[in-house]
Amino acid sequence: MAKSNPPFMSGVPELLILRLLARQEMYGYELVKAVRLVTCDAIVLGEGVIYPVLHSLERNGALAAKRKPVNGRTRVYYGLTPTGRQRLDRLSDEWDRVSSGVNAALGEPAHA
Amino acid sequence: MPEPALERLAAGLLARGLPQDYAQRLLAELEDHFIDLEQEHRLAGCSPQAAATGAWRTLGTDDVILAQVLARPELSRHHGGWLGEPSRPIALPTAAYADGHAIARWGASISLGGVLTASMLLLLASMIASGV
Repeated sequence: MAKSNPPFMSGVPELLILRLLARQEMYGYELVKAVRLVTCDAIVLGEGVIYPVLHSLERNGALAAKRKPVNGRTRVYYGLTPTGRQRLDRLSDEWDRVSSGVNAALGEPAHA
Repeated sequence: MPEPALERLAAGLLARGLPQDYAQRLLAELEDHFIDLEQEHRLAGCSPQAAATGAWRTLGTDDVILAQVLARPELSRHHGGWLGEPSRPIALPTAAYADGHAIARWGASISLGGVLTASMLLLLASMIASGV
């Protein structure tokens, strides 16, 4: 893993995964690269640890997985379910609320 | 994460009660990811050995991945239902690796029980045959 993300990033990987999979189905490797790309390398997911996150989302009904043969290999593609879309909406709202609050706090003049 | 690390990961998953089909599924996806990473490193000009080393490093260590799995109880609560993996011989070797003494004790007690049962049945059959 090239970089690690601080503890306050908890929940962000899930939000990014759901957001990217809302656009199109992807497999693990593709998804990790997409996260790096859309965040301009600001967020780097541990490549191997993305699978427990994906499997957990699948178990909770947010993602659906299916096998696809590609160039002689079989890959597991993940796609968003209606439950996943609802979860994405909820997490996006939560993120907006938290980031607005943090931005407001950071923009506020420091008290003596 | 070279091959022994994958075996350690599989053993760790099974020893902690994760379903076998889940362990197979995770290992298959990690191996597939490794192939992509290795190709990426080779395209960047690395030697085959350096590409493999770099790919394992990028994928992460088995203990970190295991910790991430164990942090999600839903992965061990649900048995079955994972995408069917082609059967691979990880179950017995890794289970034995995880707790070899327990497997040996279990095998010995099954064998002893079988011998005792067979002896009693033979004795019973001979008693019936002799009209006792």
